[in-house]
Amino acid sequence: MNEVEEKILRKFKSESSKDISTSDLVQEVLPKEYHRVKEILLGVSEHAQLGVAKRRKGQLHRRILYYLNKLSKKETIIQTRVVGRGEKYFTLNVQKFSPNKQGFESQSFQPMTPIEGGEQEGLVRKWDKESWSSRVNSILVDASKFSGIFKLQASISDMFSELNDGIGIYGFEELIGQGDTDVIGEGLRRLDLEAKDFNRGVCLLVNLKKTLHEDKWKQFIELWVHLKPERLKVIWELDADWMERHAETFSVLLGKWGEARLSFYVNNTGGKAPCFLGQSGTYRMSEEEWKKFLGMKVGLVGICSITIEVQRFFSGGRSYHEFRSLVKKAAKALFYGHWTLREQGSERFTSLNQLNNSTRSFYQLGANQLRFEGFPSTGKEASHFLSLLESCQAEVQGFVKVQETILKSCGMPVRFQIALGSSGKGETPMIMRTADFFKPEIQEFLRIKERLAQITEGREVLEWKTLNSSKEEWMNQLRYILDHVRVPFLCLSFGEERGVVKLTSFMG
Amino acid sequence: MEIVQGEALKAWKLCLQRIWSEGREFKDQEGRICKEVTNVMVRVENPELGVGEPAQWLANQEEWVYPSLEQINKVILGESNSAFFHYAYGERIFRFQGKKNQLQEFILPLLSKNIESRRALLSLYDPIEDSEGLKDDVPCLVAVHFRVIEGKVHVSGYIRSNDVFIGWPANVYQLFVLQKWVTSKLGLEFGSITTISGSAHIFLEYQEKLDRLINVVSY
Repeated sequence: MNEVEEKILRKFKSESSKDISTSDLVQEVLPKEYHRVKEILLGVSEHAQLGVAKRRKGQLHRRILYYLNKLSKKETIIQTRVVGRGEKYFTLNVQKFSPNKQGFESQSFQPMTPIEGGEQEGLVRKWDKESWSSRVNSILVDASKFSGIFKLQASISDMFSELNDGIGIYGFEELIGQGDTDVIGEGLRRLDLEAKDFNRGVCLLVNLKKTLHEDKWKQFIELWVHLKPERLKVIWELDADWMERHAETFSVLLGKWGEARLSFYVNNTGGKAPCFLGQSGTYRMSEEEWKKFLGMKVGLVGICSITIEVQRFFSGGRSYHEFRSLVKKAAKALFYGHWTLREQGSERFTSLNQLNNSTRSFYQLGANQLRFEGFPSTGKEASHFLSLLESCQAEVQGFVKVQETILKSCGMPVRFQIALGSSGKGETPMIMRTADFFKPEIQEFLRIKERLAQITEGREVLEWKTLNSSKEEWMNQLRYILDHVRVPFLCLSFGEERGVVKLTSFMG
Repeated sequence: MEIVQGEALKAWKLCLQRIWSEGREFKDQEGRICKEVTNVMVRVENPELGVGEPAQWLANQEEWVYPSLEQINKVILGESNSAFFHYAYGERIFRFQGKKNQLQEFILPLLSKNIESRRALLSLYDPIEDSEGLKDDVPCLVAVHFRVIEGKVHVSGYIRSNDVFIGWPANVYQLFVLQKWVTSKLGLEFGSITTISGSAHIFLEYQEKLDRLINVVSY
């Protein structure tokens, strides 16, 4: 259930015998926004500003009304009266609804897991703790299977309450190519608003190679830079060859992005499974899943997620053996979470199930995510850690194999997979000019990233921050990475230009 | 190979030991090496005496998560078309091809009318759905036969491919659950449970755990 929806229901529950006005609900559910508007209304004399504040007030009312209508359609609440200039009042439908019924508050069953000690010590954390075994992490949606941005946005709005992290929208270039820019803009604005309400992230995957109309995507860039959505990201699918062939137009895109200080995400996967970001880290289907996904409307990517804080773990003087043991426990915990989640799956994930023809095909995809955070990215420690990770990977896959065999042998065939990845919160080198990439410490950083990307099957983002303000330099840096580094998911972020930069001072 | 024992745990251990010593080695399609004996028959004479013990032993091992007896019970008696599993035994028994309740609509009326009938067979294999070459998962337990002799319900299950170490404990318990269901509905007594495994095998990677079982659990 959406946060706003939950707050509204809580208000009705606390005053179950009263009818409540839309204005009261706006104050209760969106207090910060309401007070901001009120301050403007009370404090300003200028007519123009007053108009803006009134419009903003209207927007807040409409936002609340959207959820009230949703609850009203479900017969959870009933409209009781309309007062004055159309203000609606609602009350809780006590006949149909009792607080004990499912749906009022998410009191899902949380299985006991063997990592609870580690959680208390801050060595391990689940994403997200509250809905760990009641909502799936992430999905990939094929935009080309929707007849327009509003259909897509409406479907995604329904899906938000069944997820706890992020959504990747594959093939968004189709919508850019077909739709009117204003319509796309309105759809994105609504999507961003919903994503904020639900605290989710949405990544639009745009394949530049498939975008035929240059004027369309140029308009899209202008639109995006103007909108600067908080919860939406664009990930551009491109490669070095394409970039060379379209250098002129591409420099316009990169230039706009850099000037707006928007991180420039790139999928350099060569047509293989794309990567996208959630709040807990990077998501990517396996190649086998990706082949199955092509042709589906929506595919499950992340199911349950656990992150191990590496630095904190080893700072306590613990051994590699203990680390392996923790990884095994985390793998077991993922199994419990996965089982609990799937057991309730057919009833709970109705929006997701409805989008595909067969419920079973939806469950053929998806992996549980075992992520690592705060590990060294240079030096011997990094190399040792990656060797440790490789051996852990083998053990985790062994556990997965045994579990699948057990379930199959017991007549309970369930797909159970664990994907290793990083949380994406690693170190970011600062780069002034392309030549900086040749510095030994940066080269070492890049090789470590390549190895990590190999172990995690690309569930890792290589991010660097450019300190240069030249568009040509941004192009050169990106070209170098695309040509020389085998990491499929990249992020070029833009920092302020500085004078003399000592690279090593930014590492670690 | 034929093994007849009073209790499930004894039958299981003996069967494992014999497959280990007499089986031929072969590699499965995933490259895992196992020992195999074909057409192995195991009869448990008194299933009421600890038929769940082998599954419980497996559930007590640290290395993996083995389903509890309650979960095994739920799967075999679960009627719903659950998206949880690629296929489900309960669904095949209670809603075969989405419509036929084999226990309620066939086995029970048949045995109520003619207690000596030899036709009380329920099928878990669906040729329409399962006989597609590229399907990932098809049932291992494919048929269950109920035969009432002198007031006792004897049950036989044919398991086409049987990982005897990991799978048999659950299979024998599933047959017991079905036996209990029929026995209670007809007001009869428990007879024996027999499994016939087309391919009875043990993966070599289980050797350490197998030794643990043979050495630690005494008769």
